Amino acid sequence: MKGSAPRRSPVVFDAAPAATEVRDGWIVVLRYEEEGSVGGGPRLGEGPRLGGGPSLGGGPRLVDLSHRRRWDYQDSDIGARTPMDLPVPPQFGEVGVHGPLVINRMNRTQAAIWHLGAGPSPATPRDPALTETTDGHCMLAFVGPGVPAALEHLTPLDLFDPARTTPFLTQGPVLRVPCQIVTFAPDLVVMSLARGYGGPFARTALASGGLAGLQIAGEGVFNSRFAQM
Amino acid sequence: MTFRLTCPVCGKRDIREFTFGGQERGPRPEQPGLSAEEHFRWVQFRMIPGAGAEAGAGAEDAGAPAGGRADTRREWWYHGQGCGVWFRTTRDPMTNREVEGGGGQG
Repeated sequence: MKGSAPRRSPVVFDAAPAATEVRDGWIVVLRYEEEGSVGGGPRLGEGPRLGGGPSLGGGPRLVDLSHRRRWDYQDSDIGARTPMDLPVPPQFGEVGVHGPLVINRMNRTQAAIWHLGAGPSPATPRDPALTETTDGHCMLAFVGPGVPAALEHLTPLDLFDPARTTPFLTQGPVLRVPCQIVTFAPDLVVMSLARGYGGPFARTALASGGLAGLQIAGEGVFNSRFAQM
Repeated sequence: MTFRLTCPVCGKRDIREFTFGGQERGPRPEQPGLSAEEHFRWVQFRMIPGAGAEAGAGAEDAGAPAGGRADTRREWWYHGQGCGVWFRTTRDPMTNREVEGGGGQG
């Protein structure tokens, strides 16, 4: 994408970036102003500030990861394939973390691959079963203490079922929007949804999740937490 | 009123995540020699829950139990708010419950 027009995330936070970088044509916000203050990050839900809520210290943060590359892999014999040299998890809903790449088994024939780690993303191999979907999706991360409480305002799904081994994939509605959701830990959840929902989705998530202290953050917050995986 | 269905990929989920796809009506009849009436009956007729055999052509449809009462029936459902899979399940429309062993099949 070098040399092409800037790529734009469907999510726009109304806050002043403190640190940015250009990556593959995307302007990536690494940190927002005021982000570091305890409980003092910007709240950007539309309309009146909802409830305010108690300060949760370094409470749950919403991070836009729409610039992160994603691929779909589809094959009738997917269990025997190794897309991008990654083993496909054998069971539906299982997730494999392999360095910077994450592979989610969606169903009998499909898996999704997300580049979530640090460093440059790998090139897309020439494989007819592989489709890059980065520009068609929005990706958001919920990071920090209080994530379960924030997500309870957004979805009836149980994203923290103790009977399941993390990380695991859930496919279901968040704010009535079909999402792929990976629960890495109680303080780290990443979800992908169709790009067209992205802007309203993020605003509504902040308005509803703001009841549990949800605030925005730059990519640095996510990078620090994911590096511990 | 709400109930849950068993998606073969995602497990039990709220009915509001699904879209009803109609009753399972068996394979399409072979085209050679297919009369207009036979085609019409395959396309249009379904079991009527609780109806006797005289109430219509329901008892002739796929899955209709002997005696006419439609205790259970095979149905197509689409998990549109989840994994996007079409599947069949066996459900009792009188109670809205899946029958034992009637969980979703792709």
